[in-house]
Amino acid sequence: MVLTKEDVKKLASLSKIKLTEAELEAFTKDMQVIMDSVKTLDDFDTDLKNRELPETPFESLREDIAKASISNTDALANAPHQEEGFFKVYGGVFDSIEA
Amino acid sequence: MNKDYDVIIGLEIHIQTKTESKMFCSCKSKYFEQEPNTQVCPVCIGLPGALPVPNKRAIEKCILLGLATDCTISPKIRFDRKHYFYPDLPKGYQISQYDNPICSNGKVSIKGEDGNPIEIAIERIHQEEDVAKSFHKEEALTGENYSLIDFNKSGVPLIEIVTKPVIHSAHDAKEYATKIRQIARYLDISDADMEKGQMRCEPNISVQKKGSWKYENGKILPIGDSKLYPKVEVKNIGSISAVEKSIEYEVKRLLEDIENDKKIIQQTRGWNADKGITEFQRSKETAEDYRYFPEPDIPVITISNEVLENIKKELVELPDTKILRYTEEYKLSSYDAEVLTAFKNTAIYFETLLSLLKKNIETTKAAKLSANWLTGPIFSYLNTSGMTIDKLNIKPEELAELIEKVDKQELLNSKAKELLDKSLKENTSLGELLNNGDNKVISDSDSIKTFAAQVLSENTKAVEDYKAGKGNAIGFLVGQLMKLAKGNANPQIAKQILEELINNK
Repeated sequence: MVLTKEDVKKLASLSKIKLTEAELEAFTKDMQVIMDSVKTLDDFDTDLKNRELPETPFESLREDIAKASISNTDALANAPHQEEGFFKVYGGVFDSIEA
Repeated sequence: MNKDYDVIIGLEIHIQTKTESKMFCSCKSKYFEQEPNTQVCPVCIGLPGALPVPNKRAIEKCILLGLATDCTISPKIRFDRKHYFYPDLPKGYQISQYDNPICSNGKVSIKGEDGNPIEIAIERIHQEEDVAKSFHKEEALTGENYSLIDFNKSGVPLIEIVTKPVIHSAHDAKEYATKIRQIARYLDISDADMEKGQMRCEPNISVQKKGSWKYENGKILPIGDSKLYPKVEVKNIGSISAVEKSIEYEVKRLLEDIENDKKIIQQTRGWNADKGITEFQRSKETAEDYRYFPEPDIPVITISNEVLENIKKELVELPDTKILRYTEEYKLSSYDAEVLTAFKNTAIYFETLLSLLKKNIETTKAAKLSANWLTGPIFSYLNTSGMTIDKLNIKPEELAELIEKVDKQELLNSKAKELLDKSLKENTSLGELLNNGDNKVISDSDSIKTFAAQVLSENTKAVEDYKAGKGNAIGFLVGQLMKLAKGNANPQIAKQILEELINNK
């Protein structure tokens, strides 16, 4: 597949990333290299109809019993930012999604 | 409504399943009013390497909803990953189902605007997980935007029900949403409280020129080389009535845009309940954008016939069947049947009451009496107090006793209403009120004559009026007698005796 600048623009928009014209140019080239390398996978049959997926009977599923959760402190232990027990994330990237 | 255009609506409804634990981990699923991030674990905060383990009960309830809506149940359940980028979804994907939903091709019947039944075709019902809750804020000093994320809601089991694009009015969409909520509540799948976010409705709406489109295999297709208008999805609908209002608004907006030659674009809009309008959110993403692929961490789940049969045992009689039975077997009006079955607990109360009364009163009469007492004084009390029938202080046994006493003419209808009212308003036991001895209807003429003599001697003016031809004076005298008899005198006999006494004087 030959990647166009439009494709990369779409990808950037889905990823909520703003690219300059120069970056767009550069990333289109880079992405093409990645795409060519991933092309190897085309030889592999990915059609699920031709594959046997692992199965498990319904009876073996987890019973609906609630167990203790981890503490709020543990939950937030690796969060770079937090506030009053919440995870805190920055960025105007969400503006375009929710009013 | 512009008569040159048709309205085409498909409705997506999300319902949070009532379970103890979350969909893919054992954290508690009841997150309402809990401290943030206290019901979380590596699975539902999406830490790398954490493995999802499906909740059996959640899947049972999803299948149950499918069975109740005449769906085909897939013998194999496969989950898929749906990718999108948003902080309420830390894994970067939601575990959902793409091309192989648990339930497909179902239907429910609703009442159309003209009162006739309409069948709404259900495309699919699938199982997925809820996302975290985010609160959008702004730094006081810098004005920088940020979000606070609470993962208690992340991973709560969520059922998505999708109709085919077969709904053609805001009214029918509202009726359909009400019906789905009713079924979910009857089967105890969910409390489906929209204000608490336990049920969410997202209509897909388009308007198309009449004759430009056809419905085929669950899709809207253009006829010939006509071009179809794109659809709009509306989110943030917080109540059943907002389903109707938002669609009405959106249809009007679309028609105005078409009239003014504005370009119609495929988009997602949010319902603003305060302003009563929809607002642009984003241009709609397509299925390809979500990069669906099979969830490799969960094996395919196989459903045997035995499992299905066991789940079928949980099916209860649903409102449509009840209404049919009430009108045919009990000869109730369809109005009575509808209001009595609107809520499961009301139907249970009615059926318990009826089973008690049936012992001594003929069935259809007992049914009519039960319906009258329930839809009359009981419902009016429930409506004004905002109470539900399961919280009612009057047991079916007590109400049955009251109805029977009235039926046997041991208790006056007016007195019965008075006692019921007292019991409801003062939260006193109706059973005790019924049996405290002061309620027995007085019909023997000797007792009534004694009251009558006293009334006549104390109300000479009314007696004169009556004699002078003022017929309504007798009503006043009966009222006075009733007061003396504490409301228990048989009013017909009282009137008869009063008239006799006056005329014979």
